[in-house]
Amino acid sequence: MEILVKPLVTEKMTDQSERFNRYGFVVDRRASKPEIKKAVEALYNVTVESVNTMVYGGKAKSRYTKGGIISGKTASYKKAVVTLVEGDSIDFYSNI
Amino acid sequence: MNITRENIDNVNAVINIAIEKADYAKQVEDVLKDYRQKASIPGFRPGKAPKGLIQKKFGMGVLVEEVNKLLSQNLSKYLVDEKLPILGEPLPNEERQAAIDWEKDEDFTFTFDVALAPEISVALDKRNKFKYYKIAVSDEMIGQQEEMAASQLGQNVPAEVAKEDSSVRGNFVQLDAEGNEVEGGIAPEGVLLAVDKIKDEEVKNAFVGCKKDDVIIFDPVKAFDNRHEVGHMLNISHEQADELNSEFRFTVTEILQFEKAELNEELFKQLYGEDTEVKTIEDFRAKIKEDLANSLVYSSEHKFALDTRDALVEKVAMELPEEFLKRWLIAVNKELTVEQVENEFDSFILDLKWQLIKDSISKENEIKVTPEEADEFAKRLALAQFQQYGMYDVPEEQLESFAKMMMDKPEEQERIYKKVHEDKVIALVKEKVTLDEEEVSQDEFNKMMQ
Repeated sequence: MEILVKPLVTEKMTDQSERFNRYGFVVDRRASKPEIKKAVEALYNVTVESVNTMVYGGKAKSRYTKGGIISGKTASYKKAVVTLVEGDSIDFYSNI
Repeated sequence: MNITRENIDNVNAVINIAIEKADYAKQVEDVLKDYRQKASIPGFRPGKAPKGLIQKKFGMGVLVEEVNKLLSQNLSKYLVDEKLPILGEPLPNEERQAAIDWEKDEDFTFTFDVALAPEISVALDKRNKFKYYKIAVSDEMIGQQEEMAASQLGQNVPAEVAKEDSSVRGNFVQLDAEGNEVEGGIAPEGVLLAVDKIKDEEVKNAFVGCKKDDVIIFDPVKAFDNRHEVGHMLNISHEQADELNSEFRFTVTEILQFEKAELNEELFKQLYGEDTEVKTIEDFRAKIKEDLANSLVYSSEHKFALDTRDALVEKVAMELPEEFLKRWLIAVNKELTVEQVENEFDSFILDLKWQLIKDSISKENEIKVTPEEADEFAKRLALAQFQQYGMYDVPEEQLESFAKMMMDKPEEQERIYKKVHEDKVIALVKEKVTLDEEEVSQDEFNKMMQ
């Protein structure tokens, strides 16, 4: 099981990183807070203060086309907001 | 920030500047913040790009820029604060400067070489003897001036008989091979010929002694030996003049003899204005002598200035950081090659020495140029320029505005200040040393100036 799926790069998260030193990730549905903490600490070489998680349910989406109504659903995912101890930071752009 | 200086010898020193992170961090941060507000990065709305991305993109450039700014500010501040008399500008030390890794290093150390002006003292007292050449105003020079004034205001007067230095006015008529008038040929009227300009002796002799209404037949091309001149004289085109090959009949209508003006009161009034005090020929000669002496004083002063410069440069021994100066010259003037610098180095050193001597003299004697003095000099310069064009009576306001125009140009202003300063230094030297005056003639003087 790969715990960290991808980082969340949004204006909301950018703001949070700068103000509260919090970074957001999409994580595996089954991952627990301690596991996420360990994974972030290992990957980015930082110390995690706390982890908050939330599960976003998938939304039903439908589209009207010539061939009738197509309906579907976006995937649900688990989001983790990781707060780092003061002084640590994560640079998502280091490999650009 | 830590600036230290090591003196290598009397004229060379090394300045070390250590810049730490704390010195530049705030400035870099501020600049990056500013960039963040303005930079438009694909994928982000303006002002919303993450800090890390901005840092990655512009961080190093900003860092280099800020550190350089800090460096130059502090270096010049240090030089001013310490009152270091440096020559040229500081140059990076090529041997001791450690390589800089802008990405990883946080503290930077820069090493600069500076050249220090040697301490000199210029002893000026009455024991020093300097030659001062006065140019004697000879009678010959006065005579020349007199002659010049007379011929300048001279006039052509009608005469009966032409002499060798007369001018003859008359009408030309072109003739064909048989000596008959060419119908519709070249026939200019009222042409003025100078007899002494005629090259052909035979034609010349024909003109000498001619009277009004005399007729002379000659070939102008042969007589003047210059087709171009003949073309102008006969008022024909150059092409026509080039093909001209015929005789002309010249009928004399007027003979003019140039006469020099008489040296009398009227002439003096013309020369010096209505209310002049010059009344007699003796007055006139005295006036010429005075004017000449005045103008020659400038030459004497100029020679004295040059001599003083040479003498002082030779007399005052000083040690100069030549290696550094060569390096600096090459660094400053990119277009100069090493050989050029080598060739011109001697004259550069001479100028530099003279500059240092001047500075030393003016420091010791507190010579300063006030704006009023500079203005005064600018006005004199303006007047001299007007006089070159023959305007002797220039209104004060015009001079002032002209002088102001000159002073408004920074480079011109600097030149004027420099000149006034040098003049003052020279005047001081002249005052302090013993002058060994010697009167020489103009010729001897000219020979010396060569």
